[in-house]
Amino acid sequence: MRSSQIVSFLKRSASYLVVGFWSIFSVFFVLWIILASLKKTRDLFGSPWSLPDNPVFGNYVKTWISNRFGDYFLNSFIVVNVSVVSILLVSVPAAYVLSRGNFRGQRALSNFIASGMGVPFPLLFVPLFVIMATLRLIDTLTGLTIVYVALSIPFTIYVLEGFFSSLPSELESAAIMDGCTDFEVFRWVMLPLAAPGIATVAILNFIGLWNEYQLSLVLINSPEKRTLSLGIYSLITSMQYSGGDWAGLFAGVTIVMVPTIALFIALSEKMISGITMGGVK
Amino acid sequence: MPQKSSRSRLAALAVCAGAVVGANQVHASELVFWSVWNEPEPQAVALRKIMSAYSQKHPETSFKVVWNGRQNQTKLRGALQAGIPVDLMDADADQLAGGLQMDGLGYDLTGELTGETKSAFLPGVLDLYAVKGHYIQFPYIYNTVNFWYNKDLLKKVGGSVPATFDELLSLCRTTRKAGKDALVIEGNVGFYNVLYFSNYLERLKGSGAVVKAFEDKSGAGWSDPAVLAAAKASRAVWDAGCIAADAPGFQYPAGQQTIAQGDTLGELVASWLPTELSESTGKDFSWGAFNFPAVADGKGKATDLEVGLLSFMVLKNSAHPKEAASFLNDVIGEDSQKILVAEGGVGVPRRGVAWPAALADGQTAAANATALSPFGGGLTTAYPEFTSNVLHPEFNKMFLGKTTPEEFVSTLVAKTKEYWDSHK
Repeated sequence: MRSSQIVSFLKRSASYLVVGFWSIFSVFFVLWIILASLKKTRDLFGSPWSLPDNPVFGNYVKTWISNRFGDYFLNSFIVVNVSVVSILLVSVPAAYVLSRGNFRGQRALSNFIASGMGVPFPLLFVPLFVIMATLRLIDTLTGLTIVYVALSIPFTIYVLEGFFSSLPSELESAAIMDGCTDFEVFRWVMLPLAAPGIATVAILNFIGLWNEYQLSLVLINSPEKRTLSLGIYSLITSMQYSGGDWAGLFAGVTIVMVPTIALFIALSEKMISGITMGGVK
Repeated sequence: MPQKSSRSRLAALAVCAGAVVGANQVHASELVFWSVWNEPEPQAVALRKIMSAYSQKHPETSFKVVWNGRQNQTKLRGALQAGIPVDLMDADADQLAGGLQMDGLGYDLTGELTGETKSAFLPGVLDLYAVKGHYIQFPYIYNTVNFWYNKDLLKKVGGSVPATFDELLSLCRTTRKAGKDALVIEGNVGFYNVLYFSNYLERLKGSGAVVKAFEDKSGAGWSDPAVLAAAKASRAVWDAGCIAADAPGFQYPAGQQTIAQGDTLGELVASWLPTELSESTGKDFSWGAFNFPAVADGKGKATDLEVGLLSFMVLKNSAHPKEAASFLNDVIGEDSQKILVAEGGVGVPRRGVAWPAALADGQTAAANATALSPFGGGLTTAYPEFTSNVLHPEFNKMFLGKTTPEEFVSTLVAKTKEYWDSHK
């Protein structure tokens, strides 16, 4: 074996070791949380590393019904899905125009939109609250959805611009020569080619918004309009003063994790191909 | 004629009925109440019952409740800015005193509380957060700060309730010999740990000593030898082996769970501990509590008490302040307080209403209290910024052995002077 092969082997082994260790670490804690959600609180602290003797599925029932996680799940599901669809409806055409169009101020406009990613959310709390209150959209899921869409657009356009730029321009030219209008080129040629990229931003936005906490805390007041992340937080804080149902809390955490993990399992290949595709310009 | 007569009688009846209705006519009011509880919590269940009973007695008053949970005060600030009408809210009394009350957003209840209401409270409770004799907040749940412990375990290790601080250290040694730990802490909860310091200082110098030390604007208040003694005594519980060596690593609620597991005797905390641990201990757990013991040559009494109350506050811009105050007069009534005990499982501020069995020692401490101060000696209430930025973190460092008591005291002196220099 040549020395370069040995070096390459060692490098690859080191990478596998790091990734393998990280994977085991992550999977271990996800499993631990799921097992913890099936224990009694006393057993959870008394024997944290053991398997549950008699799985307590009642923790899920209690969390879903008594702690209203069923309602919170539905709220999150509606807000996040409507947001993601709206984000894509706005961002995909915008990113296409910004990456392939040729007009004055194109770069400046692109940079201006991208600069939106640099604004820390906490700086926006007060102006957002005042604007939404003025529009009578405070404490509404519609208001929260609008804010989610507005704040997610810069990131989405920025990423999609990369995808569209990586697509070969020859296909566009061929379509135009065949008589396609600009919109038809976008709709029938470029959009299908950008599908992996669109799936990637859809997943990233879904996960980001599914776990979003700060904005919903500021904009939502009524308990019946809480999203899952607010529900988890209220469950954690209610441990003080009330009977600490820690096992129920882990049941809640599991409920929050399920959709994102399911989404990863279903769409991870598309997402990886989308990321690698967008990375090559 | 008979027809005419009956008509006039009917007319007369109608006039009379109208007059009666007119005399009793009241405007229906809906009280908007934002609560610190989450809807499924037992305290919320109790409050719902109390409100329902009140509405039955006063049909003109109904309630619209928003169960915000512990972020109630923060959310309320946003709502007030947005012009959302709220009549009544509740919160942790300390946080309320340092928050909405301090900002002048509370309605003055002084003229609205009946004599019966004022005399119903256990000693000192209503006055604790009064400002120059004016009542802004209205306590309705009572938590006492004591050592909460497992009575059965105390018996098993052959110990007895300590009357003095030296006896407490001796109990630690006895417990350790029996293979158990006497006390536990949560390494990441500075406002629990500081109770050792505030209670010891108050035993030495009397109730209110912590705030008094801070209010010397030169910082010299902390140079009193009693402050160093209190800091050293806090460390002494470690030196005497009261607390397990691995306890600094406990993150809430890992520490208190060791009591439920039978590994530790007790913890210096408030009377919410039995409720917080109820899922782990079960209902038959034998809870006891004793006050922070007396210290040698101390001015403070062993019956002086730190407390953690929960209070209502009527908002200053409430559309129905009198109706809200009337409801509060009812909350302290015997029936309402009994509902809080039975459904909410909490201690209450009304005299003569028995607390839940697990909290019986807390009730005794409350009934016998000779002086009250807020949780942690009252600095959180009066000066929340200094407490959370300086006192709690600096004390925790010292308590967990990262700095010395002398360094802790000199930091307090310097930071207090800095604080007052920047708040002239």
